[in-house]
Amino acid sequence: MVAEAVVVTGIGLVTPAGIGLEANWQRVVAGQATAAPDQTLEAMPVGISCRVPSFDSVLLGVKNPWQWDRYAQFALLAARQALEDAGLEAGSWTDASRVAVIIGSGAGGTATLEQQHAVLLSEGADDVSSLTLPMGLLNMAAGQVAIELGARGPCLAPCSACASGASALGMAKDLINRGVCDIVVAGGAEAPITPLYVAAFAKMRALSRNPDASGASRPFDAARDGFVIGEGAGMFVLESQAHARARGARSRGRLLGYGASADAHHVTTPHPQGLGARLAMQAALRDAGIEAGVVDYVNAHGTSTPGNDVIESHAIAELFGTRMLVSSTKGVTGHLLGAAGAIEAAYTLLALEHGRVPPTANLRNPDPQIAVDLVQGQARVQPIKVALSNSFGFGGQNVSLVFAA
Amino acid sequence: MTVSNEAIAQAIAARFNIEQSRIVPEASLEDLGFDSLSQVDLAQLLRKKLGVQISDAQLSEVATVGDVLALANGKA
Repeated sequence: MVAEAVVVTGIGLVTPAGIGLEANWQRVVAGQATAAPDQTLEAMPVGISCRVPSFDSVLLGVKNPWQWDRYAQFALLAARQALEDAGLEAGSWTDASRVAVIIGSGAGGTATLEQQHAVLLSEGADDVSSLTLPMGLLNMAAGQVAIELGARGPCLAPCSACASGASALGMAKDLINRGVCDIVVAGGAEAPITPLYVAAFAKMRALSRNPDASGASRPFDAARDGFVIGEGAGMFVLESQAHARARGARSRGRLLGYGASADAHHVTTPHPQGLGARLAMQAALRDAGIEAGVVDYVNAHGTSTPGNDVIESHAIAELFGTRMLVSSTKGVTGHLLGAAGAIEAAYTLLALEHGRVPPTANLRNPDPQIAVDLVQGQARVQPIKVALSNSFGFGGQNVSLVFAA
Repeated sequence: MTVSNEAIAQAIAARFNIEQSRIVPEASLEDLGFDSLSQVDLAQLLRKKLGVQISDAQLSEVATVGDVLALANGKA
């Protein structure tokens, strides 16, 4: 059986760079950072975050936004945008059982769980909300979005920490390749700017403590000292090429390859030789049926942590050579954890569409240990045809996706 | 103990993040976004914060804010 080709017909973005594709692309291609001091984190050891600007749950158009955790709210808004971009209307499916919803997240409804745990300790069990689990569970963004869209195909919530959104897109590709689904609404969502998450990441020394908030997320820079926590969602409409053609849909590009691997090394420290990263990238190239030399640009995981950036760049150089164009859009958005893979997949596709490689914001003095062609300052204007996006999660869980224009 | 309608509307608005202007007697609980699960939270709010003696089962039988107010006033 020949695998069904997978095309991207819609994208929705709700990120610190803005709501909607246009706002996101303008900010990302200009390399304008979004990190800022966060008043809700005043009691925390680190008080910087990347928030979605001007977000209001009224935008969701549901009568009960208060029954949705913030991460699921982001997912729904991004999913609606993606459907609109694809020219599809929720509920008007030819065959709803062939429409899947796959939404990855690392933290799920952690804000709800943290709040209700506080209620349990202060007020007792009787006051714990009956909505604690419907809002708190990690699969509920997928569940709630499927209900809103009337999608009755597979409904899944992969968790591979900071690779979750990329895992969702990869699983979506598999379902379409195998002919199980015509349409998959897939991506990642995260709302992790909570006391527990920030305290825990701070304790691991994973977060930047740079006093200059807007310059704190600086992937590949010699002075990088951690990531900036961010929130938001990225959602895609993926379709079989046959289905998209039959309804005359516009294609924004093709998802050619999906590869995944595990470091099998340590819960948080990357494999010192970047073995897992390389295996994921190689698997994605194999799945795409292309050689490494065909790839024009790598949108790196590039978290701005001392550990990730050098090792990832070595794995990229080993596979693609030192002339590979590399940038990390986390300089603009911060790290959206389980949503990062999906929003960066979107930026990768937009780079292909516009023929512009976004720069790594805040990158001024590249770490001398890094030997790839880092895009800094201005966007690099040049035609690119094939690009790869990396996402690596705690647990040593790695995902790479290959897109073509 | 009696509880004013105003106090009940205020408490519901604050607890569920719903605009208080929408919590009027003729508003249906369904339109405000309540379902069988969240009505359990509504009953708990009435009992704990407002001292209204009301069971989960009683609340599951009401349809509008007006019904809730009647129940609260009858039982308070």
